[in-house]
Amino acid sequence: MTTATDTSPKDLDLAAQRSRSPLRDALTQFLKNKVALAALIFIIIEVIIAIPPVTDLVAPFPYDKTSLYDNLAPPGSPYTGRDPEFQGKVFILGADYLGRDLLSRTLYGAQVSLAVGFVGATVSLLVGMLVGLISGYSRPAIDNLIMRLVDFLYALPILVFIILMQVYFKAVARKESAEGLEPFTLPSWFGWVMFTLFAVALIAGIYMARREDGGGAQYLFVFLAGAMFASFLLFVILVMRTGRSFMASLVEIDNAFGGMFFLFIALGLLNWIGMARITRGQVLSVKNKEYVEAAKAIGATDRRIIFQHILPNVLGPAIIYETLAIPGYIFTEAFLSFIGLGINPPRPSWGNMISENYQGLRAAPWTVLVPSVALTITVLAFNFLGDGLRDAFDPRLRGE
Amino acid sequence: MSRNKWIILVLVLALAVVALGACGGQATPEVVEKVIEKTVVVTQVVEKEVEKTVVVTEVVEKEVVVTPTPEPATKVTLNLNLGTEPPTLDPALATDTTSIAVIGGLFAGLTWIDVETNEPVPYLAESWEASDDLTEFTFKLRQDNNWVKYNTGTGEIEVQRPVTAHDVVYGVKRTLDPRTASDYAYVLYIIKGGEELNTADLDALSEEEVQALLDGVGVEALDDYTVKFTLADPAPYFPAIASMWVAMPMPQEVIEDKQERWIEPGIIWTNGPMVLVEWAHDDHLVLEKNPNWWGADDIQIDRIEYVMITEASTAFAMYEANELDSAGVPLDEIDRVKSDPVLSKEFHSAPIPCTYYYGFINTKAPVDNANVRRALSAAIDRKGLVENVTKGGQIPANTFAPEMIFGSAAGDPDIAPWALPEEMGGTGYDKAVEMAKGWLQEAGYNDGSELGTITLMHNTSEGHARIAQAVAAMWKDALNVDVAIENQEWKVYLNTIKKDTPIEEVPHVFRLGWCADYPDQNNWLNEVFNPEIGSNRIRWNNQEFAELMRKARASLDPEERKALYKRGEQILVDEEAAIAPIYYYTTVTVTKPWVTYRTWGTVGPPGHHLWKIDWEAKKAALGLK
Amino acid sequence: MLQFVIRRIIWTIPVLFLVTFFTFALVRAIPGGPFDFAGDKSLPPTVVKNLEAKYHLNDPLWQQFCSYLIGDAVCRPGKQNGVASKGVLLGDLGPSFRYRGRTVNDIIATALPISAQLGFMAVMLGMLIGIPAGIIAALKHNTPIDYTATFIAVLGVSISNVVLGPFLIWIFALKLGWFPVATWAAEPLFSNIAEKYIAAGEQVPMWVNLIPKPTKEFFMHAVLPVVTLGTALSASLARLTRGSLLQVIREDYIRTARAKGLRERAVIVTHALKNSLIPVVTILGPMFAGVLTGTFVVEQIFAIPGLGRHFVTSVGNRDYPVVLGTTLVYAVAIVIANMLVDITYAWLDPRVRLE
Repeated sequence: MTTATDTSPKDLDLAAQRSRSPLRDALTQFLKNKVALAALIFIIIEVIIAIPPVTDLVAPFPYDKTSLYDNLAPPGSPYTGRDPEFQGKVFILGADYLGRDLLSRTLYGAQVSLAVGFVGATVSLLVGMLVGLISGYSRPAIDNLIMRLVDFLYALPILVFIILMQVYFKAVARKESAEGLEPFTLPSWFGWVMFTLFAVALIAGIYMARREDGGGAQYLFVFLAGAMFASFLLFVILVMRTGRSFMASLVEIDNAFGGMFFLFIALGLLNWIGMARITRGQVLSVKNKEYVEAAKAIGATDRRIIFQHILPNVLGPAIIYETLAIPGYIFTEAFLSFIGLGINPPRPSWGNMISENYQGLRAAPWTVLVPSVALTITVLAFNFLGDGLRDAFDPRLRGE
Repeated sequence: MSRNKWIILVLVLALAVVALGACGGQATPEVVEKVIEKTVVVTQVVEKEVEKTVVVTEVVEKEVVVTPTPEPATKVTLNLNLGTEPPTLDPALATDTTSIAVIGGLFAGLTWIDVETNEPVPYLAESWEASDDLTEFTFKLRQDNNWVKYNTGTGEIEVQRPVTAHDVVYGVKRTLDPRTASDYAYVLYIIKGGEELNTADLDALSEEEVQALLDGVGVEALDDYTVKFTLADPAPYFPAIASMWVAMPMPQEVIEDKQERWIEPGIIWTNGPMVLVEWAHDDHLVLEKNPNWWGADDIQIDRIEYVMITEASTAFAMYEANELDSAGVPLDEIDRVKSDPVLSKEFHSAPIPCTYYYGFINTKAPVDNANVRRALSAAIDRKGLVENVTKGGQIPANTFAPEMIFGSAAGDPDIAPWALPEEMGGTGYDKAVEMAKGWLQEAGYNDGSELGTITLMHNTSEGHARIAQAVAAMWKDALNVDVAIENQEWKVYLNTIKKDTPIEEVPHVFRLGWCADYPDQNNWLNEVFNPEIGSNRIRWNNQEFAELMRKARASLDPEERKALYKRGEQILVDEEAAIAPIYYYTTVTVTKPWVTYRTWGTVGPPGHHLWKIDWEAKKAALGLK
Repeated sequence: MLQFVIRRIIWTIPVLFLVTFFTFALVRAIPGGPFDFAGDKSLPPTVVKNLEAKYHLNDPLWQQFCSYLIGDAVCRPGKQNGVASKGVLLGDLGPSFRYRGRTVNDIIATALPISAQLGFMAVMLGMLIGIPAGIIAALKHNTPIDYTATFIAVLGVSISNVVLGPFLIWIFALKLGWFPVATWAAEPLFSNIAEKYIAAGEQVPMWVNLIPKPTKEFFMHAVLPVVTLGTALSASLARLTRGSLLQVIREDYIRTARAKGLRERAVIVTHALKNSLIPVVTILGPMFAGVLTGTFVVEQIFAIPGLGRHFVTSVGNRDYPVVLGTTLVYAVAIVIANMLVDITYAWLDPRVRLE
């Protein structure tokens, strides 16, 4: 119970904290948590499988290989189509309404669904927490203004928005392809530039975060956001140099993301609002606590108070909220794709597999069960991982 | 602060009380059941009386008074799903099948499209005659048809007054009056003066001028029971148009008094076989038999209870729970239903006058080449599609108009035999693919991939998405064509595929369907694809086709018209392959065994009131006494 | 407190105005109008012109917006044609373009009470299950009980309502026959008042529809949809309660309370729980607002005639007044819910000041 005493006026206890790296503490703590560790390993394996060349290797069928006469084949049925390439193969988990292998589609579906889960969660965490922190910590007048803006955004009819995006972006995309411009290809050095940018940002961020003299986590935020923005800018410049409009460069980005870029924008627009409210609520309650008052009394800067004292208290509910929101993102993706914004069929995602098959729940339950189980296990892993991380980073829980 | 605490506490308590009270409410079911038993006794008597005194309408009306709150279990009741809320019950304003299904029970027009033959037969009009040039039609009305109103307070059906020729004249003029703003008013442009009235800017005209326009419409009451129509052009199909909702008689006094609310129960006057008893919006709608109807003896159903369930699987579950007498089968359940020993006997798929087709944008490269279009059309395995994807017994289509339509050449192997399987007299798919490859080569492409990516667009819907993916896979497998599938929300989609959208924004291929307004090729080939009058979404400009349509419209000889339309189909589907018809729709339904007579896939209203059920069997199945 | 509420209500005005303005502009920016097609048949321009004249769609946009807000009398003086509107400010949300003869007020008065009944019961169920489950899980931190609770909660959020609803119907309505398959069976508690309106052929007012008669019929119909909707709600509430209770339990004052020798239950209930409910209350606010104004999927699957479907179908139909009306209803609900949340903060944690 070494930490039992150092929790109260933590900021007065800097010397004690500096003696040990909090990151290392957290790591040790995390490794002890078997369930969370298992969850982490599962997620890593899943991510590896979702890397396109790996998926191609693992999946028995291409995701769009139809075999009409095998439609709704139950698990274990052999392939009866004519294509010699697939003779003798078996639909291990059954086939869907067009005779496409469910196992393969679920594996390929992980590509979209994991990406959507990560991006949705990241955008929501970054934007939502930032807005929430600012709002909760600011003067009541500013807080009020921000929160009324949030009310306004809550109320806007999202469906209308999405249809508008769909109409506009897709029309630009079609125009683009019809104008017969050479298809845009990224120069090969772009990937390296992006990689270097992010690596530098990450290393610099972690380096700064290591420093204990006042909330280094913000630098990680800022650097990563900067790297993202820089590569975005670079991309846009590259595209516009080929004589395309700004909109067209967005379309090219969309293509580079496999049709998911606009989807991500939509998800980002949709999902930070709730996070902002959660964060703000937590900030309101924390900002008047004794240790924050104490920090103020000894003249700590606002920035330091926010990142050092308030953020850790906000993180817990934020992570839980986020891990629970992941299925929401995945279903939202399915809905967005269904109304034409996002990935186009026949590309699978767990969300669209569930929503296109749910009517077959009774006639061909495997078509619904397989993607549902994949989704549930993944979300479960995220939740256990989130719990583990939260426990690991909460100094008050250590030593239990 | 403490006061606030109390307020909140009180609020929470109040909520809790509501919740608890709600839970406590379960103690009362016994009372409810007793009430039901009592009403059962009363109404059994009623039923007996009905049997004895069928003809004398007055007595029937008195009986209705006996049961102010009608008990469903005692009347011969049909339970059906409407699918959605009918947008209106106003005959002048209706545009959709749901509204028309209900309106067909509530109102009686001059003619009726017979549910078996799909031909117009006498209805409110006992008979009619046409002038030799088919521009004047005179209808003789029945004298025993009355306006009736259901009194929602007492449950009585009150007779108002007889339906006369003046009501028909009023109805037609009301539909055409631009102030009514009827969507389907254009159907009546065939009547002389109709278009002039409907397109006039009434604000800019004096009252006399407006009156003159109204008087100028070619419909007049020669006497109380004779109405004469004067047409702008000869129209052999006019008796079919006279059956349509927009030409029905309408009760002037109620409409002028209650304005748009005149269609609510308790207000609406109707003249059809049923009356409107209850309309709980978005939930259910109840019709009851009109005892004053001239054919009341032939109508066995006392009461139709419609629910409005959009979700097909829910409606199907209600059918399985005996809550519906008939229901559509969801696509994914078809296999299960077909293999189920009980449900398979209740399963039936019946053709309806609708066609599913893919249209090509005829001016967009590479589908601006007829050989490319024909190759793509031929590479659709229609039989494989209907058997494995749509599964509802749909019929592979080689023409635009299906069989029920006058002048249709459906299934005629002279037209696009490559679209038909061998057993229907076609070439079968394997040969069709060979032919398709040949046509591609003729067009200068050795391999489908040289076409570039073909964009196939459909409106957002699960069913269309499946068909599009299947067709894309067929094109890929057969011809190695790369296809990008896109979908758009319905109204955005219809705007995208308009003929004036910039060519770079439209897809190469789009999907649409067409259903009959009236059973004549004029409503199909001419109104949809005549480049001079239709919406021409396929952007073609085939003068031979336009000329054929003009001739067929003017011709008075049925055989000649048929021949002209057949030639039109040949150009549209085969020679030019401007569209790829895929299948003729069917309605895929299950019907309970106690339904002894039902109607299938009609061109006009479905006539639910004509159904017959074995009431004893249904009662037994429901556990009613 | 009173001052706070008044100030918040005043703030509602610009929020609602902006929502109305943007929704008005956005919905008209989508391609396609309410009357350009009937089914998939494009209507002749002459017919479209008549329809647009009737609903004033041929006025300039600013005039339409003005009419929508403050009525025809002010904004289009002298023009009498078509459907008159009194303006939103006087409570007239205009006619529906799709359901000819019904007004948006009629639609909301019929549909909103049903959604509210369903939503209220679902949130209640969610709270009754979710919060206690969260507390238990937190107290049994990192034990099999905790893991099981997490597992069930994750199951609850991961199973889409489009799967759960039909599944419950299959098992409990078809196989076991315990409950009806679908539809809603609410009769107004004040049925005699409702009957008067019905007999006169008039719209039954919203407040009459709001309170259902607590019949067996009503509850039997409500069970499956309420459970479907409540499952996901209770799952998120359970997870959030657990997480934030865990955080609070380690705070100094809890330790102080324990040290004082208070019984564990008293510590949890009087000290820890209240403090830990802030995130829970934060999501409860929008949850209430969202669920009370209607949920599309559950209403669709269980054929419940609530407002949820109108949010979606009105956009598809380009039924502008219904889009605006439903959006406004939701906006009002959100504003009120978030105000209540802020008030509750001050109650849960006295250090939060209402300003």
